[in-house]
Amino acid sequence: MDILTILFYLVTSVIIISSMSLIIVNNTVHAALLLVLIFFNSAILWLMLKAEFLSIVLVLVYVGAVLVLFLFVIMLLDLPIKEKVNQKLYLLFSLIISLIMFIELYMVIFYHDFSQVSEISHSSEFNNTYEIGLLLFTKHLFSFEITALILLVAIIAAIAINMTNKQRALKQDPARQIEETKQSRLRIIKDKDL
Amino acid sequence: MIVENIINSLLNFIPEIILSIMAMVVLLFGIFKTTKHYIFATTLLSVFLALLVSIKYFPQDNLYLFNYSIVKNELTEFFKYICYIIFILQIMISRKYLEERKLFSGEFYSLLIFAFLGCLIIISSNNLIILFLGIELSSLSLYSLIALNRNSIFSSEAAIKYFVLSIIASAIILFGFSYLYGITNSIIISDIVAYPNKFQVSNLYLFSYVLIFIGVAFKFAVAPFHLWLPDVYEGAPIPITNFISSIPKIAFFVFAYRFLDKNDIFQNENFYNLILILGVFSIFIGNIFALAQRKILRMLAYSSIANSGFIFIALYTAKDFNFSVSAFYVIVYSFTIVSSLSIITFLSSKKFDLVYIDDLKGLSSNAGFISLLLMVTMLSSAGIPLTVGFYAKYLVLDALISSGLVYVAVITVLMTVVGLYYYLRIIWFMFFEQGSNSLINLGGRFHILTLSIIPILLFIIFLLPNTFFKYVFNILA
Repeated sequence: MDILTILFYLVTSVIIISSMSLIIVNNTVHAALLLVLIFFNSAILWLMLKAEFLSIVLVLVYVGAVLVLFLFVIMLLDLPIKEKVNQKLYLLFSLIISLIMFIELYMVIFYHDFSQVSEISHSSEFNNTYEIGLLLFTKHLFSFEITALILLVAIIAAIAINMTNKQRALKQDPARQIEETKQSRLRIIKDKDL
Repeated sequence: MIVENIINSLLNFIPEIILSIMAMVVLLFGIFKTTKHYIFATTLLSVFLALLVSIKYFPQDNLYLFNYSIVKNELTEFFKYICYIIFILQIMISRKYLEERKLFSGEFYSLLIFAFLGCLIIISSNNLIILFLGIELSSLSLYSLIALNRNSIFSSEAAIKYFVLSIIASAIILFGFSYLYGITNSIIISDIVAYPNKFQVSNLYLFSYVLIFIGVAFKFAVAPFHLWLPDVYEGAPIPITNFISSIPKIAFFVFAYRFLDKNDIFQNENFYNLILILGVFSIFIGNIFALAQRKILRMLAYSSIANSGFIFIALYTAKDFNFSVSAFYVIVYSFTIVSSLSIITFLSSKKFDLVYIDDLKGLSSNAGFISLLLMVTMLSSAGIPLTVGFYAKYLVLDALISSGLVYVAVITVLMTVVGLYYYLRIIWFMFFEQGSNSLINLGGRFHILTLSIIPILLFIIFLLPNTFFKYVFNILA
């Protein structure tokens, strides 16, 4: 076994163990941090496939932006840590099903003849970022545009869902702000009252 | 050369471009008080315009746009026209219901158009990436449309359920796609479909197809994957239920057609048995559970599960014949369910949601015409002659018997007879039970005119089936 194979098995086992514990863990902060671990290890997998741009984007976008946002949301919501519920039955069922799935996948992939698939080999000069950029704006231009539409829908949906309910939305009302006077906001109290 | 290609692609893609731009225009119209009155008219006009333009740019033969991302041919255009017609009817009926529940806004119609656009992209996609993006575009808009009604607990429950389960289905489809790309080294669907004809079908190819069809079964709500459907039908605003029940199903039928047509994997015993078992199980579950329902929308949900089972059985028969039977069934079923859900939308008034089947008691004494329309629709869902639903069910059974599966046909007929009970119960309540519900909405001549389009069509096509049949059968031959 060469060093790459050992590294591959190491990284994948870390991914699998941490994604399993992500589901089991009760504390949401721990879960988010485990997700960080998963993304870092996936980035290493990308690097081993010589896709350095994707691996850096994974770390920058997911770990840097999305998960930090996640942690902020967890902090703001201040969810109580639930006590351990009895999950043994669920655990049993999920273990059985995932075992069946694992055996199936193992059999199917192990016996497949992959000789048709060509191995990717590039020189060290090969510029990953340049190629992705080129493909994204020529061959896959249309997918790029549809992705833009999906992001637009996500923005519209997020705003629309949060703005519909007027009572719960944290929104400024300029008219009320102007109407407020000193008397309505401030109350002078004497020491005796305390 | 490249510029010419892009211009040609853009020209042929104008209907979808109109829809996407008008969705944003509708969104902007919703912001200002003066333009808010024009939301409805703008939505309707833009969909009409897109339909007209897509008729104008009807392709002569296979037309590939945007570097083989999109395909347009007679088949895709045919299904798109049907989607357009259904969508226009749904929009026309939706306004009053939404205004009474304070859901009428620019965002609502904008997201609805985006969901529709996603379905159109699924129909005409030619590679896996576009296909997946189309699925995501339509379902992401639908999740948020369901969740938009923040005042209802049912709505939030439905949205969360649909969101979580639908995302799992998408992930399973994507998992299948990734293996297909690994095996065939191509993302173009026609290459993937042609692969088993050149090389031996490996188990991995079969496995990825099973994964993809589990995803499709989920989107169709076929029996073991049906649990989300009743809650979504009940919780979502009825115009959205109307949308979910029809247009995505047509889109996913075209999806299934693309992956199975002229594919040798369809001769694989394990694969076609999977489809058959899913279908039969779904007919069984749908019809049995629908008997116990007291709420009309849940009953329709279970009946649509049974109908999805019929669609899967019809897909199974395509292994020996072709897809025309299943296509015909999908089209007839979507029109029927749209008609019944539109009538329910119409009958719900400001202070009253038509929830229980009991609420329909004695409807015929107040509104004879509406109950007649509902009766025709229910008879068509049950598959009784004088409506085109009869032909749809008959063709499926005929194809089943020709494939030599008489016992499956017998089970199907028996379950359909069971299903007759809950369809006829509605008719019984409307015509023969006493009592009247004063809260039911009966006003609006224009709406009644719109509602009567589909039942009249169902009746006319029964009498003059030839032209329509020939058209469907020619396209899919």
